[in-house]
Amino acid sequence: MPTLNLVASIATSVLLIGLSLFLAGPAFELPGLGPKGGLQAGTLPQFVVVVVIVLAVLSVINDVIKWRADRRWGHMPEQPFAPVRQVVTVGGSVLVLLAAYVFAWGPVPFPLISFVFFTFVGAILAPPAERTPRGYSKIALTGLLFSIGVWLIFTFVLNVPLR
Amino acid sequence: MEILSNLAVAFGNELSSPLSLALILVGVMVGFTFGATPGLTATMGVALFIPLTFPLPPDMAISMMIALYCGSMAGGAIPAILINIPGTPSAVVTTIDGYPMTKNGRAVEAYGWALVASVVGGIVAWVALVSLAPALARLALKLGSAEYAAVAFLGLAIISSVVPAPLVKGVLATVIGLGLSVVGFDQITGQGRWTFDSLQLTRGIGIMPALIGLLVIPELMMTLFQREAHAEAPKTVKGMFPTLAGFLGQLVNMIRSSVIGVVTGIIPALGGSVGALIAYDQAKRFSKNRDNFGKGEPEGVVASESANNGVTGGALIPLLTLGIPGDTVTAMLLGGLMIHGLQPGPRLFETSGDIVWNILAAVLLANMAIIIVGAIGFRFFVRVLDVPKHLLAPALFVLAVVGTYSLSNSWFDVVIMLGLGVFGFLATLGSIPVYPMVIGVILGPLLESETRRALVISGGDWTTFLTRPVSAVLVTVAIAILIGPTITKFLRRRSGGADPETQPIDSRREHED
Repeated sequence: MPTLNLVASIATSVLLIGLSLFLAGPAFELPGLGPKGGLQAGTLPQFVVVVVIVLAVLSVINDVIKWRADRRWGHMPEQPFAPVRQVVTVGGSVLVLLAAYVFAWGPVPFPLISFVFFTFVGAILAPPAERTPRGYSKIALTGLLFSIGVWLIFTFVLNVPLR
Repeated sequence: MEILSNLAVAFGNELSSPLSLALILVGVMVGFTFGATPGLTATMGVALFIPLTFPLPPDMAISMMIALYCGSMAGGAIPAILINIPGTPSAVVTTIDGYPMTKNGRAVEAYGWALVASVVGGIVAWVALVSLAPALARLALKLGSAEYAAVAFLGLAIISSVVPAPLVKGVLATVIGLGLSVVGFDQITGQGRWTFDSLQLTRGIGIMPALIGLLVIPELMMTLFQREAHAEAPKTVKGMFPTLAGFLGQLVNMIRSSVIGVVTGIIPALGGSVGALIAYDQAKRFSKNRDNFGKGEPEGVVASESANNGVTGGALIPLLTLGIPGDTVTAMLLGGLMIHGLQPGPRLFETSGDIVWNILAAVLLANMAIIIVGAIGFRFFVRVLDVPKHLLAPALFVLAVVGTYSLSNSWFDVVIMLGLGVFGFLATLGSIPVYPMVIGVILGPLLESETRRALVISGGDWTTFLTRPVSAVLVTVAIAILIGPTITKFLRRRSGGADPETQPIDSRREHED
C-alpha cells in the first residue's frame, strides 16, 4: 500500500471517527429499540455511529498492517497514479479554488466568478508548454466564452437564474 | 402479447417524433464523446446533462440519458483500440486485443468489430430488458415489507462485498451511505434526526447532490492526474465493417458475451469491466484461435464490447423494477428519473407504464444509433482526445456546480455536493470505495422503513425475516455474500494458498463507468 493511500485512509478514518463522536450525542438522545423489539427513530443513527467508529478503526489497522508488510517485503508501489507532491499541490489547490468559487458565487455575479475560477484552474493545470502569455490568453478567452455561454443557456433556455 | 402491443405503441410514439429521435442521436453523440475521452465517464456525462433535460418530457429526457449511457460504452473502445487507454473502465478488456490489432495495421477493422459487437450486445440486452423487467415488476408487487427489506439488505451486502476493496472498507462505505440517508425527518415518527434545527437539513440530503458529490467530483479530481492522450485517426475507414460470413462466424461469441454482460449488469456493482473480463475468458476458452488472444484477435474485441454493452440493459432491469441501480450510471439515472417525477420501483410500470415503454423503445433505438454515429463520427471522436485537459477540467467543474444548483435552485445543495465531493476524493485516495456510499444513500430509506414496517406487522418478532420463504432466502444469500469471501480466504490460508493482494487504485475504480 502506497504511503499516500495510507495517509489518506488515516485522515478519512480520523474524520469519520470525529464526526461520529459529534453525531453520537444527538443520535443517542433519540429512542432506540422499542419495547417489543421494534425499531424507533434513533435505531439507525445509533447503529451508524457505533459501526462507523468500529469499522474506521479496523480499516486503519488493516491498512497499517498492509503498509508495514509491503515495506518489509520491499514491494512498495510509492506512486499509485501520480506523485504525492502533485496530488497535494494540484489537488489541494483545485479543491480550495472550488470551495472559494462556491462561496464567492453568492456576492459575485456568476459569469465573472466562473471566468475567474476557470482561468485560475486552467492556469494551474496547464502543461509547461502552455505557460506562456499566449497560452494564458487562450485559457482566459475560453473561460470567458464558456462562462457567458453557460450563463446564457441556464438563464434564458433552462430558466434557471444563476445570479 | 401485451409486451408486443406496448412496444408497438412505444415505437410508434418514438418514430413519429423527430425531436425524440434527434435527442437519442444527440445522447449517443455526447456519450461517444465522453466515452472516447479517457477520464470522462458515462456517470459524469449523465450527471452533467441532467439539467439540460429539465424542459423535456420525462420519457425524452430519460431516453436521452440512456442513449448517452449506451454511446459512452461504445465510445470507450476508440482510445482502447487506438492508444491502449480505455476510454471508460469497462473498455479495459478491449485494449487486450484492440491495441495489438492497431499495431498490426488493423485499427479500422478492430473498431468496426467493436461497433457491431456493441450493437449486438445492446440488442440482446434490450430483449432481456423488455422480457424480464415487466415480469419482475409484477413479481415484486407481490412482495411484502419483510421481502423488500431483505432485497435492500441483499443489495447493500452485494455492494459491500463486490467492490474491489477489503470487505471492512466496503461495509464502512455502505454504512456511511446509510448515515447520510438518516439526515432529515424520520419517515414514520416525523422526528428530526441530525437536523440541528436547520430548515435545509430537515429536508434531508438530496440524492442528486450526494451522487454528484460522491461520484463526479472524485472522478474529476482523478482525471487531473491522468496523462494527456493523443491519437491519429486512420487515413481511411475502408473495411471497417465485417463481411456477412465474418459476422455470422462471430454471432455465437457475440450472443454468449452479451448474455454474460446482461447477467453481470443485473448484479449491482459488478459493472462492465467484470462482464467484459468474464466474456473474454469464455471467448478464449471456446475459440479455435485461442493462441492468438492478446496478439490482435478480433474475437477478443467482440467479446469485450458485446459484454460491456450487454451490461447497460442488464443494469436497467433492477433499476426499473426494484429501484436498485446496477451501476454508477444507473444510480445517476435513478436521480434523473426522480427529478422528472418518476419513482423507480415495482409500481413504475403501473403508474407510468406509457413513459416506461417509450423509454424501453428508446433503448433499442439508441443501440441502433450507435452504428450510425460511430461510423460517421469516428474521425471526430478521435480528435476529442486532443482537447487539452487544462481547458476541459475547469469546464466540467463549473458544470457540476451549476448542475447541482439548478436541481432545486439551492445553494445549500451545492455546499452539500462540495462537502461530499471533497470527502469522496479523500476516501478514494484512502482506498475507501464511494459507490457503496451512493447505494447506501439510495437504499437506506427503503431498508429502514420496510424493516420497521415488517417488525410492526410481526409485533416486533425478528424471526419474520426467516419464516417468510423469500425473505429467508434473500437474507441467507446476503449473509453468505458478506461472510463467504472471509471464510474462503481463511480456508485458503490454512491450505497454504496465496492471499490475493489488493489492487492498485485505478482498478478499484473499474466499476465506475
